[in-house]
Formats: sequence, structure tokens, C-alpha cells
Amino acid sequence: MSVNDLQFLGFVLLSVLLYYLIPGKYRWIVLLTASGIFYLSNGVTAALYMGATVILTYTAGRILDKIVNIKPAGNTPEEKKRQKTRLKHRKYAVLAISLVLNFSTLAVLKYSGFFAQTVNAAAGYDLLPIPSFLLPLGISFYIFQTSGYLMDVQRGKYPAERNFAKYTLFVCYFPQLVQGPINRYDALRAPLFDGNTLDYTNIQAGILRMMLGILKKAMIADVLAPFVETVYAGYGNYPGILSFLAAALYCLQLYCDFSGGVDLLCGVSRLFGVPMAENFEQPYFSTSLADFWRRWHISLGEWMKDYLFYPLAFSPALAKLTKKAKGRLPAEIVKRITPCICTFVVFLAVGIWQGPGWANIAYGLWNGIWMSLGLLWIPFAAKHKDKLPKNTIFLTLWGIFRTNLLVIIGRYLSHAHGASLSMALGMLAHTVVSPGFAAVNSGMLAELGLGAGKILQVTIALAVLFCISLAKEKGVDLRAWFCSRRWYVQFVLLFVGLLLIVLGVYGNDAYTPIAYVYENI
Amino acid sequence: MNGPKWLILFLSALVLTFLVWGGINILTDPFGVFGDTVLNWDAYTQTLNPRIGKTEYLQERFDEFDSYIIGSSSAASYLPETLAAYDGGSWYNLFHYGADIDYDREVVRWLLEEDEVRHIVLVLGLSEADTPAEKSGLTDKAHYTVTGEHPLSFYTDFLFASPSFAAEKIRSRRQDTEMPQAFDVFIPENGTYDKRLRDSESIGSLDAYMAKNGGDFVPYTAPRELQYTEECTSAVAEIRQMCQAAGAKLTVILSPVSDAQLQGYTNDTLNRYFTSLAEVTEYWNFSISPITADARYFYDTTHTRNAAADMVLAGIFETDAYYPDNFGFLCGDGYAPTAEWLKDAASAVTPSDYTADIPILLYHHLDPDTAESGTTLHPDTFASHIKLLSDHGFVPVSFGEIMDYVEKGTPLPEKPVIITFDDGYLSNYEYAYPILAEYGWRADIFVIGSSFGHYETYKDTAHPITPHFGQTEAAEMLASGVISLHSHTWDMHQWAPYETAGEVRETLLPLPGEKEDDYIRVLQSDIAAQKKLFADAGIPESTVLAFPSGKYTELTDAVLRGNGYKVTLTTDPARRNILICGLPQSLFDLGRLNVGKDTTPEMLLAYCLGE
Amino acid sequence: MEKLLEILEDCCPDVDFAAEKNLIDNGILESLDIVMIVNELAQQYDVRIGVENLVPENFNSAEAILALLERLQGEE
Repeated sequence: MSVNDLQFLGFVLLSVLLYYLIPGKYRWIVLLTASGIFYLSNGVTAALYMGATVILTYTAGRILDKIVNIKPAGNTPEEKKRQKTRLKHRKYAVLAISLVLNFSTLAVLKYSGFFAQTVNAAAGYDLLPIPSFLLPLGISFYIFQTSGYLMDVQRGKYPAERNFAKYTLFVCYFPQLVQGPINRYDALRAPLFDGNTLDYTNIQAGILRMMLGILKKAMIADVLAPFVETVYAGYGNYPGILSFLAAALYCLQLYCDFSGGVDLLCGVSRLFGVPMAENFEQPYFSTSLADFWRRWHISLGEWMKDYLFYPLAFSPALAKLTKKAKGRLPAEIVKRITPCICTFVVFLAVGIWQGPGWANIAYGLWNGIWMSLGLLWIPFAAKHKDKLPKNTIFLTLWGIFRTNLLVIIGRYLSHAHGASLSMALGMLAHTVVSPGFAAVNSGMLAELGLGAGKILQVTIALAVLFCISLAKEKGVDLRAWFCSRRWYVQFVLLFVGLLLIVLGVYGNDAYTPIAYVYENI
Repeated sequence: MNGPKWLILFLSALVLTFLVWGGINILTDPFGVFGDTVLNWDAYTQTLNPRIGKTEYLQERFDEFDSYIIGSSSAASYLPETLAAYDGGSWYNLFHYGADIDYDREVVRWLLEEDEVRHIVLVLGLSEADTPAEKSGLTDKAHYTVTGEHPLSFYTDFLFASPSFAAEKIRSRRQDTEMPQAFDVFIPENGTYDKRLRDSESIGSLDAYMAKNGGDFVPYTAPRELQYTEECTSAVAEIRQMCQAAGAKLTVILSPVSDAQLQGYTNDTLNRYFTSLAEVTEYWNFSISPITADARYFYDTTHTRNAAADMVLAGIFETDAYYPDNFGFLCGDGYAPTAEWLKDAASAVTPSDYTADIPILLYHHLDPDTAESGTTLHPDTFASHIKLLSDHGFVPVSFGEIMDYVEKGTPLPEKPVIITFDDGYLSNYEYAYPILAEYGWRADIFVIGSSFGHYETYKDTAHPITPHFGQTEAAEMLASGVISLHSHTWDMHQWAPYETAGEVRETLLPLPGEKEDDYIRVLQSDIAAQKKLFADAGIPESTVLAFPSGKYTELTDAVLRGNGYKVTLTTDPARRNILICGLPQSLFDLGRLNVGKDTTPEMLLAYCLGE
Repeated sequence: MEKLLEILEDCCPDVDFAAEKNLIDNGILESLDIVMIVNELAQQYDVRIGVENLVPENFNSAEAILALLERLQGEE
């Protein structure tokens, strides 16, 4: 069952009806059953992988919980302290082993091919066979989610879940499976297990959000996709400026695809009264790259912050390094050594998360470098505060422009479907060396799948999306606005929206919906 | 608005959306499952999905047919009219896209239940035993009356089909013309492809054919397995049992296979298929035959020409139409000749057994009083040409003879030649006719209908022209048997300076920007006028036409073919006229040497000898 | 408290630590600021601040931070 067919919507409808029809105590079982059916329909092998993760992390969570709850006993304070240290070591050992095991599935399934290729390239002959696996649906999302859970339990943030079935639901809850968001156990626990009562606000919000998500994907992402794919695949055949256009449109495509998919599934989840973590906050309104990463794929960013950035930043090794640097470098720099290094590592990890390959690693570095430079820039900016222009609209727009330019260049490197580093760099060089403005004409765009009709369609859709985003950015409650319209206005808008969905989703040229870009990450 | 009320609002918007969606699909009805009452376009619905389109078509017309052709697209070439001529009955071709023997079985079951069936011809290829074709959505879906699917689920699928099908149908409707296009390739009345354009392609030497179509003959790479053999033969066995039970005759044909396809299979693989098929049914094996090696009998790797399928039927019914030796073997009772043996038998027939090279000369006006110029020759020059050819052993043949060669395989003389005259000048009668009679030779004259019998002036004008002969001369020449008359069009060879109308047709080419359907109408009325002239003047009906100035398009050929013309002639001397037995396309767009004052005897001889 | 405020303002000159009570929840302090602050505090007060202490309640105000430091010092 794929998320973007009628069958899925029927499945959701049935689950929602069933959910509210049975007593509250058992409602979570409906979710568990539905999730099981959904995941099994995507393949038994995938379900087996997930089962292994569930068993592993459930068990590890329980063990960690036990250790956390042992009160250090001892007759003397020294003994007590020794006991405490012992417990701490045991806790870390259990955590380390379980995390390594958990991530190894991901490492083997996703990165072993790249690893073997790299080794073979270095060796100069086929030293290792190149394995290739079918990636289970949403594997990196649930691996990250369960790993975060283990670290939280280890930190004593909350006790481990005792009910195995409930824990399974936490991991395999179907709206989060396809492309996240990466949810937190403490945020999901109550709405997921408590049995929500029927609240029409949830239904309304869920439906509207689903519609918005589908429209984003069908009216923008899927329309831009053929053009983007074609240019990325053969950028040399077209003027360089089209490479830039493709990268810029890829930014829009990816946003509409990814956030549209998340909107759809957050909407579905909302129907059950389960609010999921937000993943996007108008990222293209960011005024700096740091700002962008706080607004783009938020649940991944938060995960990286809590489970990679902080542990690294507070590691004794980095503290030692800072100490050593003290006195040798200016104080302002010393203070920023740790954040810089950690930022770098985090973005390397984000790059690798995108997928195997040097292009993705380069993508991580590209972001890491700019973010670190930005950090080092702050004290300098503070010092020369008076000489810099005051905060104006112009400055904000300049910030947005600059940020988006960096993001677009980054997208040369990180096309989700198997970009290679040499291709990305070649494409970048092609843009600069032979932009060929004169050679571009509307016929060329039409041939690449962007005829006048499509351009008009995307432009209108983007304009609407821009207004929606701007309203959100200004904190306007769009749902409240919409629902306070006259009933016939709402009716017409809903009807037009639904008709556009039918035309967009079921009416594209290929007669088949396009899979989500991040579906197999 | 909030709460349940809002939900009702949303649900009504949803219901309305579905109503509009379904409504559009019912009105446009791209698959023809809702009666297609608005556009009523069977050729389109059959093209989009032949399985459903033909089921819908037949359901209302079972009483019109008693015999059926079943199979995948390799059965497309088997024509109901040929079978009706050889076997009687009224036939319908039920072929569908993609080899799918299981569907064939269900169709036979459905037919036997719904109709009193007299005869079924099941056409198989190698593909039926190879990998089953992948089905892709609505275009490969079968009708619920055939599959037994619940009608509700069947109609729901089409009610909520992609709106692009509807949009595509409307767009196609706007582009629709008289001739078939990619979206309406079927003739709903008999279930076959509309090949008026496809089959107007002229075919000559193998080299020229492969230069043009070689890309369509992608060889299969060995070794492919016929892994579906068992399922295929058991389906055939079931078909046979069903037919026996219902008292319907069943003929199973293993259709000719091209060399490009055959390369993919080993003899062992083929033998297993041949033998297991022979264990369950009697069948005709045409798969490996003398035509296998000759790509001209195929459209592409996996599709046999209509003409080749006609040869298969001629072979089965042993008619006097052409089919090669060692063509088709009846197998059964577990016995089938091996692939090795069939290949051996096929190699006994070589291209020289079924092809002939024929030179055609073109003359115009003869004039003893002025100096030779252009294509105007002195009668003595013409006489010397005839003597030269006669001395070198050439024998003049008629168009009837070359048609017999192609259609029935009737042998031609060793060195045949055809003499033709264009335009129908009086000088042909005054000078050429006596010379030909003296040598005991013959020739063919192509007359422009509107100039026939115009001895002095151009058509209805006062402009003087070179005299054209009329009915009296024609009657005398025809009676002698020396001359045959054919068409050079009624009035599509106009002389621009003398024409008063705005649109001048100097050749058979469509006018710039002329719509296809308009052109077809003009052409058809010209053909009708010429036929009427021939009938009125007592000239025997002819199926041969020379293009004015040698110019034509594929559409010209298609329309002429639709009006019964079998031979067309150009003025291209480079085109070698290779006649191929069984392929009527080898009579199309034949080349001619346009003989003029610059044509030396050596050049003439070289052309005729094919040097 | 004075010492703490001095350290804090040294790290983030733009923030009014004395007045602000919702440093984290209002998004005034970002992760990078927190890292700088925590590292600075760890050195100045000679305590080990672990990841598990990184909850908004501990960093929402200067008072909360002081309370955390005192608690950690007591544990040592």
C-alpha cells in the first residue's frame, strides 16, 4: 500500500471509524493493528527488520531503566561513590552496545554498498563484493527514533515503556513511518496510548492539513520533478543557467514533496487526535543558514542537537581541547571552538543521513563550513556593530536571499537520487562557465516538461503557498480564518481543492503517482 | 462553522467531487464501458483497451458473427475477410495487446457461453510460452463478463479512472481525421488494426527495407527460456476441450516467427514447446518457415505482416494464392517436426525462388518532324530501343502478369521488361503502336482523363496543346492487345499557365496546408471521375496508376489502395523494382527510367540489366 | 549571582539575563549559546554539567542556572 493512492485513504477512513467506535481503553490497539497491516503490506522482510529493532530497543530500554533506578548503596560515601561510578559505566556499556546494534542495521543496509565501492576504488580491483539491499520503508526514521528513546531512558528523562505492545506501537505508528517526523516518546506517549475522545477540531484540522499536503505534492512537487530529474541527469545538454534553475526548483520540489508528505501524514495522525512533531517552519524565509536548519526538517535537527551535538559538546575531550587553547588563541575564538567542531560533526552526520556517497558528505561539509564561519563571525559583528547597517527590511531580504543562495548551491550536492560528487561539481562548474542565457527559450523549457500551462499552474500554486506561509510566519491561525468564512465559501474552496487533488494526483501524464523523495531514506 | 456540521460540509464537497469526477468519466467514457453515448467512438475505445472495447462491441452483436480469431497482437494480421473467403462464415478478430494465453482461454470460455460458435482460430506465437506480459492498470484490464469480476468493482475502477483518460480522449477527438492515428488504430467492425497507412509502405530490395526498418528488428538474445510452456499448453488443452464440448471447430496456428526473434531460443527450447503443444492439440506450425529469414514479411521482431498471415491462411486452405514450399506443417498426436528439421526445410527456399527484378521504361511523346528535345523522341529512336531490347532477349510483360507473380507466384519470363507511356499523346497511337505491333511487343499507356480525346486544345480552354488520343484510337489499340490503358489521374496533372482556378494541382501531392480529410475527398472524387471515364469509353477497369511527375505521399498510396489500386509508378530510375511473391507492397511506388533524348542505348541497356 | 550574570553576559552580550525568565522556552538562547555558557560555567565553577541536565527548566532563567550549579556542586 502506498501513501498516495485511494486505497490508503480508505484504509485511514476505516481505521479512524474503528478508532472512535470502540471504547477508549482499547483504542490504541486499533492504531497498533492498523500500523501492523500498513507495514506488512509493504513487505514481510521490512517488517522483520522492524521487529528486530523493536525487540532490541525494548529490551535495552528495560535494562537501562533498571540500572537508572538502582539507588547506589554503600556504607561509606566512598563506597557509595564507587557504586555510583560502577552503575554509570554499566549504563554506558548497555547504551553503547544497544546503539551500535541498532545503528548497524542501518549501516549494513544503507551504507555497505558505498563502503565496498570505496574500498574497491582504493584497492584498484574488486576486493569486496558490492551488496545491495532493498531498504525497508522509513528505516532511518525509526532507527533514529528508537535510539533517541534509549538515550532519553539512559538520561533518566522518563521511565522505559513496560508494555511491549505499546512500545511496538510507538515505533511502528504508521503515520510517522514513511518520512518521519522523528517523534519523541514523552510527547507521543499520552496521545498515543490514552485513547483520545472524538474532537471535531482534530478531524477538521486533520482533513485540511491532509488536503494541503496532497496539493503541495501534486500541484508543485510532482510537476517540477520531471524537469529537475531531466536536467540533473543530463545537465551538460542544456545551458548552465538551467542547472541553476533546476537546483532552485529542486529546493521547491523537495520542500513541497517532503513537507507535503509530512502534512498529509500529520493530518492523518491528527484524525486520531495524535499530534506529531512539526518538521518545517517556512524554511525559505530564513535569514541565515543556522536559521534555515532550525526551520528545515526540525525533528531531525532536534534529534541531532539532543543526541549528537550536546553529548559531543560536553564530552571531556572537547573540554580538554578548549582548556589547551586558552591563552594561545583570542578568548572569543576559544569560546567558539567547541560549538564549531560540534556543528561540523552534526552536519557531517546530516549529510550522511541523506544517503551514502561523497556528494552527501560534501553536502554536510558545505553546511558545516558556513555554519562555523557564521559562528566565528558573531563576535566580529558584535565588535563592529555600529558600522553595520541597522536592522531593516532590506537587511532581512538580503539575509533571505543570501541564505537561499547557499541552500540552492547545497542542492547541487544533495540530489536525493544518487548524485555523485563529480557530477555535482561538474554541474556547478557548468553553471558558472557556460550559463548560456541567450540559448534559453520557452521551447526548451516545454521540451523539458515545463510548458506554459505547467509554469502557470506551478506559479499560481506557489503564490498560494507563499501567502499561506507568510500568514503562518506572521502567526495567523489559518484554520480559524478558513472556518470563519461563510459555509458556501468554505464549500466552494473545499470542492475546488478536492477537484485539484483529483486532477493533480490522478491526472498526471504518467497516470501513476510519483513516490515521495524521502520515502527510502 | 465547526463540529459535525463542518464534517457534513466537507463530506458533501467530497461527494460532489466524486460526482463530477465520475460524471466526466461517464460522459467521455474513454473505455467505452458506460455505453459511450456522447462520442460514440469504438475505434478509440478499442485502441485504448482492446479487451474491454471488443467485449463491449461484441456483446451487442453476437448474432452478426459465428467465427472468431483469438490471440495476442501476433493474431492482429489474420484478417476476417480472408477467412470468410476461404472458410465461409462471418468472422471477428478478438486479439488483444500483450501475449496472455490465460486471457485467451477466458475469452473462448465467454464466447462459447454467449454465442453459438462455428469456428475458432487460435493464433499463438512464441511469446505465449515466454514470460507472461506485465499488465499495467486499466489499459490491460479485462471485462468483468470475461473475468467474472464483480461488476461493482469493475465499474468503480472506470468511474474513478484518471481524468487524463477523459482529457486525452477529448484532445484526440479534436485531432481525429479520416486516416488512423496512434489513438484510433482499430477497425471496430472486424476487430483488426486499420493498416491503410501502415500497409501502403512500398517494399523492394531487402537492403532498402532494412535501411529503413532495421531498427524495428531488435534481435532477441539467446538463450531465452519458454518458461511458460506448461501453463500455455494446458490453457490450449482447455480451449480445445471447451470447443469440443460446444461443437465448435478449433484451428490452432503457430504463427510465423522472424529471424530476429528466433535467435533468442535454442532448438531444444523450441522442440519442447512444439512437442508439448502437439500432445494437447492438433496445430499448424508456421513458426520456422521460408519467410523466417526474410524480414520483409514482418513489421518488426514480433509482428507478422497482414500479407504473410494471408499466406498462412492460403497454405492451410490450399488456395491458389501464393505461399512458399515447405510452408507450415500440421502437427498433433504428440508428433511435431523438430526445429532443426524445420530450419533445414526452410533453407531449401531462397530469395531467387520468390523475387524478381523488373525494369520499367517510361516514354512520352514521339515526333518525327522536330528535333529531339527533353522527353520528346523521334519514332526511329523508339524503334531502335525496342530492337535493342529484343536483341538482348528481353520479353515485354503486362502489369497483369507481374500482379499474378506477386499474388499467385505465377512465373515470369527470365528477362521481363515493361514499356510505359505517360499522358496519352496521339503520337503514341500514330507511331509507337505500329512499331510495337511490328516487333510483336506490347506497352502500357497512362492517360490523363481530362485530356483524353483533346486533339487540339487544353481542356475547356482555347490554348493549343500536343494532341491526345481519344476513344476511337483507344478502342483500336485495346482490341489489338498490344496496348493496355491505365490512369495518370483524371485531372491532377494540370498545366498551371492554362488553369484559371486558384488552386492548381500539378501532381498528386496535397496542396500546402491542405487538411488530410479534404485531400482524401479530392483524391477520391478524381479517382471516381477517372473510373467513370474508363467505363464510358469502354476501357477495361485498371488497378494501375502512374503518379503525375512521379510525386506522391504515403497518404496517396493509402487512398489509392483503399480504392482498389494495386500498382503505382514513380519516375525514380534508382528504385530497383524487386517483386516479392506474397507481398502486394512490392507493387507500390515502382521506379521507372524516364527515357529522353539524352538517354543513350548503353544507358538504356544498363538500366534494364540492373547494372 | 553577580559572578554568574557576568559570565552569562560575557557569553551573550545581547541578552538581558537578569530580567528574562523564559530563556529557553522563548527561544532566546540557542543551542550554540547554551554550549558556550555551559562550558564557561563548568570551568568557572568546576562542575560537570551532563547532557541529562540540559532541560529547559534548568536554563530558563539566571536563578534556575544558579540553582542547578549549586545542586551540582553539592553532589560533587
